[in-house]
Amino acid sequence: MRRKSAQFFRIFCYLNILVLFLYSGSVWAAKPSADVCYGCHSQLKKDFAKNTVHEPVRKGQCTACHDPHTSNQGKFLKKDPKELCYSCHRGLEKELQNGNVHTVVLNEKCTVCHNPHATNLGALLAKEPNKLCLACHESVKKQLNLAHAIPPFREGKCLSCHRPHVSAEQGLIKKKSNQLCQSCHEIRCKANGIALAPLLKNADCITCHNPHASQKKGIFNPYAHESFAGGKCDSCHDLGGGAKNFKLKQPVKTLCVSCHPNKKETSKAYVHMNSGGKHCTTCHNPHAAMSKSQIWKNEKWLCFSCHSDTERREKLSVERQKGIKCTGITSGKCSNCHDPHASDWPHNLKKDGVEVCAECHKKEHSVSHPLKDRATDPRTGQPIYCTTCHGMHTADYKFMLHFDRKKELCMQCHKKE
Amino acid sequence: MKHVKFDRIIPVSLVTALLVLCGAQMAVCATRQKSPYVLLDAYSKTESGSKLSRVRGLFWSAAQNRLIVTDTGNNRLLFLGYQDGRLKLLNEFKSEKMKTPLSAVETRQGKILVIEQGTIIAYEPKTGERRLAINGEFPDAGSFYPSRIALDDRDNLYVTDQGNGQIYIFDNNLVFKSQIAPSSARSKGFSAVKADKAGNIFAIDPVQGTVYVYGADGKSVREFARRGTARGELEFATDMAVDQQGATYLLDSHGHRIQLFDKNGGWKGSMGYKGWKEENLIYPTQVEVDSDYRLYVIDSDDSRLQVFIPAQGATR
Repeated sequence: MRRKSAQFFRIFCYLNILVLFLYSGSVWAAKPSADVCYGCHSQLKKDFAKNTVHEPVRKGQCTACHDPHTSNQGKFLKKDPKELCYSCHRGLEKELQNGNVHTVVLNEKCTVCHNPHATNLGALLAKEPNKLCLACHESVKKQLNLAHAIPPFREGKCLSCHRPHVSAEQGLIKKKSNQLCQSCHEIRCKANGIALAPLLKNADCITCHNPHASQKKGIFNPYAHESFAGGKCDSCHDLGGGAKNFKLKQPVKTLCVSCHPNKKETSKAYVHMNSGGKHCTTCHNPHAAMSKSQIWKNEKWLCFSCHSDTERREKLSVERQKGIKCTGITSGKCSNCHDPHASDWPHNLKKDGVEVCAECHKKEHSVSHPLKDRATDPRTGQPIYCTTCHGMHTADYKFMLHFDRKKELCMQCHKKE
Repeated sequence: MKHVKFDRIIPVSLVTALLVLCGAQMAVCATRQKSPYVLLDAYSKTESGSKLSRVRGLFWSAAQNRLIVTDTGNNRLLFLGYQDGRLKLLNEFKSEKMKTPLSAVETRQGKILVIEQGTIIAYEPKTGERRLAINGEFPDAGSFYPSRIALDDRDNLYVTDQGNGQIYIFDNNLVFKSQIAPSSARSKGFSAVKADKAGNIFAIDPVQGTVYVYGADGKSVREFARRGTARGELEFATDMAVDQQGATYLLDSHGHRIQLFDKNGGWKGSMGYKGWKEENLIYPTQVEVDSDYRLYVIDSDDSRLQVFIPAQGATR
């Protein structure tokens, strides 16, 4: 009997030790309570009492994101902000692999739009959606002052049409533009009284219409072809067959040059491959465009859509030089230097490799190294141009130089001096 | 046990690092030396000192055994040939009316066909006669805008037409024969056309970085190469040459090199590196190959003509 009770006592003691061990372990492993943090950051507790609270904040798990002692990140964050957000929001990270990604998301700045703790708005947004979007998209904001605007834009409902993070469509729109527009209203386009709905059912509406606002009735893009703006559809189209047989009077290749013969530029040495007829509409919108000269989008987008290798090299060059100042490149105005149709100079430059630079660099031009007929490149036996030393899209060194000016640039030619 | 002295570790590791670096450098040099072609000659001005300017065309005239250089900036054609193993000016052809010649070829009868100001002009060098080359009607003549021309062994003329985005074929009497439209809907046109001995037609689309091969009947035979930065891919190809065996030399202008493909379109290697010094290429725009497999390359910015020959031991 005594032995049995001693055995029970022993088991009781072991169990107690085990319970004590487990309890002490859990206490040791437990994260510090938010109250410890609020002990000093008392104001935060009041600030976080809002309609929408981030889950870890609601649970008082400050240490889910912050390290209470040390960190290499700002705000004592445990990890790089991007990694930190995606460590829970894994679905979004996967979604970003496919599709067009919002630049802010691409730059991994979640907190530009979201408050990481608490807000009175849904989805922890830092501001009301329209204010948030227009804070960055200033050019779109200006369109609010235009005479005609589509209702969701006027009412600040950006998310009626756009997705905030990623979309399969360009411009982060929710669906293809024709489906998106037609989900609210039917096609109202007419040409000389002929309803074009059957013809335009699958057309991309934003090729002619501005998706937000316009000074023109019908919310057309600002840069319109003269005939289109004047409602003279029959200048180019044969309207005899009705909407189902709405053909061009001539093929594009002859139609455009019948009014714009000067664009053929046949006497130049370097003719852009898309010039000369058939491909006018590769670059130009025949109806109404968002950019000058009726080009489909901005110049940079248009040029790089074919010259993708130049885009890649230019990015590398800018990275290597830690930024460049050439306004043609920084502003994406390819046509500052290049003639998009035809030129007498290599790379379709508007003028020779000195004069084209001197358009902006007047001062440098007056004090520069001897050029053109006054100097010959001993490596090639040909005249020296600005572009002999400077590479506009591909340079590796400061001042857009092909070689390091402190080491090897001058020595390329001046070896024995 | 012997203690390793710390002050000995540093020089030993430095020497080791140096050896590793040298090895790596040698490996890089060895890779570079593997170029299948070596420089034979460079030509940037005529014997009288007149510099080439904005050269837009190269053509090897097999019948006359000479190279025709379209010296666009000087509104002239140069006929170059070999004397004592070096490239020399044989003749210079200039006409008062010749303006901005873009591409020139020479028929077996010695007639010169030149693209000038949006049309093709035929010159008789002996008499100086100048006239429109094409005889008779052909489709879409109103929007015909020739950019490059090539000849085959039977003097059939092949023309890339930017106006219609097609290849036009004319027979040896310069009468319209047929036309070829791009076989890919994505194609934005061709920047160069060539024909091989077997009558196959090669056309290059720089935006797709692809060579389209058509049979003499105009039917698509195959396509090869693509745009990109990996081995065997093209960054922005503007011209090509086809040798007697049907091998293709694709001029990757923005990659500053020439990519070599066999007659079946298989990648064989590349030659050339970016640079201004002799043997290097800087935005090359034209390439031609002669019957002795010598490669002629023109750089865009400096209008320098360089001649390369197959390196000893290199296989074609």
